[in-house]
Amino acid sequence: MKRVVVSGLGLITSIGNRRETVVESLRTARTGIEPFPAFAAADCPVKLAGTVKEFEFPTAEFEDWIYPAEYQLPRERMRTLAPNSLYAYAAMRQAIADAGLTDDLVTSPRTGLMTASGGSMWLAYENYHTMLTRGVMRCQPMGIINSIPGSLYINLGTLFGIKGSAVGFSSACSSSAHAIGAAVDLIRSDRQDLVFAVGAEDCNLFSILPFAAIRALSVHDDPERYPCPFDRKRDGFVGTGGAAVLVLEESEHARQRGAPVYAELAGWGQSCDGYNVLAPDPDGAGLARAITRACADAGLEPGTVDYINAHATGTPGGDVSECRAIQQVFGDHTPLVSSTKAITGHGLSLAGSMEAAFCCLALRERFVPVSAHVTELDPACQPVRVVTEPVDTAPRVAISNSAGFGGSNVSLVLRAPADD
Amino acid sequence: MTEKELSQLKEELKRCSPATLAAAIRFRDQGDLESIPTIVLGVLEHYQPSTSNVRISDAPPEARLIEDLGLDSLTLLEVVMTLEQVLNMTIPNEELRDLGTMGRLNQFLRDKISGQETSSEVRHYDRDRIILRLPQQPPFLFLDSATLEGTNLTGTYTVRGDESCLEGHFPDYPVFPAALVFEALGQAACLALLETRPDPASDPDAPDDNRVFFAGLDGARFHAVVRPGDCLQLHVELEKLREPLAIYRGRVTRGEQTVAQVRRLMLAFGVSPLPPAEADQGAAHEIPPVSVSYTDPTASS
Repeated sequence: MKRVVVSGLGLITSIGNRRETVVESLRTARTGIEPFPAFAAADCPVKLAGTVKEFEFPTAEFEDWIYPAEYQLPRERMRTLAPNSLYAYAAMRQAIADAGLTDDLVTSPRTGLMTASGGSMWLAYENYHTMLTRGVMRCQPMGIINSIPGSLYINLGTLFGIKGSAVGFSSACSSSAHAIGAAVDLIRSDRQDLVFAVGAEDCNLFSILPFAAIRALSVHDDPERYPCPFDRKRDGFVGTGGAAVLVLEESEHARQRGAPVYAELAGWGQSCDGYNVLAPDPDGAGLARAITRACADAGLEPGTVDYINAHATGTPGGDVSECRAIQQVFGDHTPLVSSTKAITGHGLSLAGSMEAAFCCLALRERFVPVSAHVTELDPACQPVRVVTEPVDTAPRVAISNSAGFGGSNVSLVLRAPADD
Repeated sequence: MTEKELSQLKEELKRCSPATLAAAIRFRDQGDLESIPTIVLGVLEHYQPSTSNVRISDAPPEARLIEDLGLDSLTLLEVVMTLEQVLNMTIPNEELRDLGTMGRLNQFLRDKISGQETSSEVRHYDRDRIILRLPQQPPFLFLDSATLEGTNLTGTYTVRGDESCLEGHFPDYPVFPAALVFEALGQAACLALLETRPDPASDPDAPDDNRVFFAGLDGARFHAVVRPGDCLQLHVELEKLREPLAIYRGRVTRGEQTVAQVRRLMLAFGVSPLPPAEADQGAAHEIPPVSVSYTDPTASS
């Protein structure tokens, strides 16, 4: 069977807009979370967000948006973008440069695009508001393609001239992990040589605050202590946005063109809890099934896994459920486990791709990201080896977990390149 | 304008030149039709894509919005929506099609706002201009003048009496052949097609010549004898246009009298429907038998 490697990364995240910055933040557990002025103005109990630096969206009109000069686009391109797709455009540019892809490769019919984003609730709101207050025929003509969840593949496909498969995924917080899994399947089955797997999310009132009423968001205001997955005092997650791109490539294709290889995407597994629309199955049976399937798909014994980047968002129920899932698969001696959401925030549709990218960095740079802000490990999480302090371990096999509403679970297995 | 309307207008035009806003205020306050071109210019300049190098303020009225100014169809929608809001009017879909040039857009808005019937563009052709445009040439040109309105054309041809065919048709009683009456109608349709079909320059696959072939006549009827000195009016109305076929409804009149009618006059263009050897010899202009059957490639879709 064909094998799949990660040959390029692009990252626009709360902990850095360049790979080097992101590695530094992960190594030192430097948080990207801060008090979010938009929340202060919104009169709500939520204070923090994993803000995306260098990008500002003061109004819904793209002419007012501030973003780095190197990613500037003309108005006929900007008019169909939302924050999530603009982040993703920037991350795509990085990933293409990082993987050393020529234009011919990017636009080859053998190159695909699997995307995941919740769309832009913000611009959708603006568009509907216009429709209801000013009339149906006054609707922004770009109002659909700048806001629907599919807008990410629509825009990136056009911006980069993608000619292969292009699909948008929508499975809540496991969306971009599903996008990666689909990309792996496309390459293994020889339908594509190369696939961009992209996750992206807005970072604003509309993408984050709807989670407040279901009591899923942390209401604390100190980003050096919250959010705190696995900790006894955890009270919810902190939202974030941004974009992450993984260039997934058939391994022989990558070898022949001398591409850099971060890791092998060795396998993936998925499952559904079939339990509840919002809450994960407290037993973690669904997620355990996804992890087991992923290991089997990668052809490795669970015991060889060194590190798990947990989905753990910092909600009371979710973290425990995931720890039970891990324990079911790995028994008493679990891999090292951390949640990088303590410093990034939870990126929803972005999370799976962002954290898979973090695993790539951990494997290549030979470090294990710590789980920040754990001062008192929740006893219910204790059977799992949560990395609360830096450890001197170079992981060889890593897993990235994602779990979304409706009990949608995805587990990705990444392995350090064989030759190093 | 109320305060609210003024602030909406300012909001709408905040990214256009100050002159645009000033003209819009003049228009809204005083109904000043002379402000329309300034408003249109300001809006077009704002929406002009970065890839277009044309200076719109220097562009002539016949500059085409898409081909010459570099706007795409989405941008045209934005332009129309902005103009609708600024000028406080609505432009229905069916009227959008006819707004291809800056001059047309200005004239259309002016007519629409002043409550006049919107005038469709009318073009006149004399025989010299027709000779420059049509592939058919004297002595096989049976069109003296033409008027094109939208996609419909009315041509004229006066039978001179010295046409060579009349010598034998008939020696003592010259009658302009029915086949040539249909040919004249076909030439009128040919001119209409060449003048209104999509510009081949904007389509890289389009052939770069003027070749149009007679492809068929359905429902052809002939009602009167045509003799030297008769002035024929040749009316063609476009029914359907999709490469490689254009279908016209045709009628030939002499004063009040109907001389001939064709339910479907079909012309093939773009890719030659005829065998290359025949096409090369120019046989294409020969009239096929009346009521030839022709498989309409567009009929099934």
